[in-house]
Amino acid sequence: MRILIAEDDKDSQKLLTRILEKENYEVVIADDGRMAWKIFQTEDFRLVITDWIMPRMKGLELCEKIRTKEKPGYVYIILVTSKDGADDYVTKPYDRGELLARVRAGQRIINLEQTISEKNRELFLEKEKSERLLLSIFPRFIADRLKQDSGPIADSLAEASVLFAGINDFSSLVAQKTPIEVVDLLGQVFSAFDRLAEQRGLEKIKTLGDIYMAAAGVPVPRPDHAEAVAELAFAMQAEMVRFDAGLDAPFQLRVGVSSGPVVAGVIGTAKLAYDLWGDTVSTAAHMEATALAGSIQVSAETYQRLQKNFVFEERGEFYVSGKGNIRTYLLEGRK
Amino acid sequence: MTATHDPTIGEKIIVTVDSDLEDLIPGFLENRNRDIKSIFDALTRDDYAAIAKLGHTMKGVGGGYGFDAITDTGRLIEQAAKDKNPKKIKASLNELSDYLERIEIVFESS
Repeated sequence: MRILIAEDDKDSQKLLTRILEKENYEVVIADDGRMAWKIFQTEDFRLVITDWIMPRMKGLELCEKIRTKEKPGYVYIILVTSKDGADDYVTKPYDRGELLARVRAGQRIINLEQTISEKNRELFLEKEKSERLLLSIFPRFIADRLKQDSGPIADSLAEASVLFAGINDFSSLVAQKTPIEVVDLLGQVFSAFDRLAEQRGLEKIKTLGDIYMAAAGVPVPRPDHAEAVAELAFAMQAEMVRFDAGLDAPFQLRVGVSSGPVVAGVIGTAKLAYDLWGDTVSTAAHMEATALAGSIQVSAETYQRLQKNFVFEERGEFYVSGKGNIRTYLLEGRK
Repeated sequence: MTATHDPTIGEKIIVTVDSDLEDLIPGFLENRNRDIKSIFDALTRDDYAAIAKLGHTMKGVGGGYGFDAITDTGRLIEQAAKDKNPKKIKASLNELSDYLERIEIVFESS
């Protein structure tokens, strides 16, 4: 350990150096407070022994300067002949045993402080890791709420748009590839979708097999939720055209969208996940299930919100159990 | 570190000093003789501030080397300087001078 000594008397300097160097401390001598302060600012010292009365800068002023200096790690100061502002003090004349006892006490405190700092740093890194993990599972808004309250979260949102995207004829892909290859391909596709969703500020909800689910307007409402989902749908279809799966026929995507009220939240006590519920969700799923390969099929609710700025083709009506006939539209492009 | 000192008897004063400090002792004692001369010089100028400072330094350094008598003398000189008492300062200097002449140092391992 390096010790900075501020002492103007040469005989005292020699005495301190001899005592401390014998105990394997590295000693740096300053002839007065100002010189000590200059050295302290440029070199790393965790323990300082300073005389009280010195020319140019007294020990107390040196203490104050060290205390106000923003340097990482604690600096232990032993003041000689007085105690104000110091962690510890020794009286002159120097007594070897007393001096070494004080220095060792200071060293123990510095070591403890360094251990605590290291533990705090590790704790901070672990916390950051947990935070990243939490944010990979939940939207930030929901993660922040979960950190404060572990109870269930269920928010009714009057306006949101939900998108489902599924790979057309996924079962034949499964038959052509090994399970590992299938998972690898899905991983590539969904990673691309994650990026597209994130770029547009949409929330990925989950994947289920070959189905990718995302939403806009959750957990934080946004007035352009339908437009945002439409833009994501276009981007996903464009991505699929570019994507080379190494198959005879390229991947084709079915996209289904619906808009309206949803309930969003986190329920249960194990394997928590942020999810959406409600008629809008089931309608969007139905839009995907009945969509044509390579198309974007939307419900009448989404069509009403987008018809002003987007081009549609009316597809017709489908019978949906519990809802009766519902009209659907194919989203073709922007006006 | 111990010292046996009876100024009324002109015998050797045995001072036991840590052998780690052996090479530093000649310089240390030379500095004390220099202090005596400096204090006498300061007395001729009535510079009691300088005398107090030298006494203070002597007080602070003596015992650390094993010379408790030097610390005691330094304390007396510092106080006498603050009291502006030249008689007492001279007496202390003579006593210190006598002490420095009579000491015999024994080095011991710590």
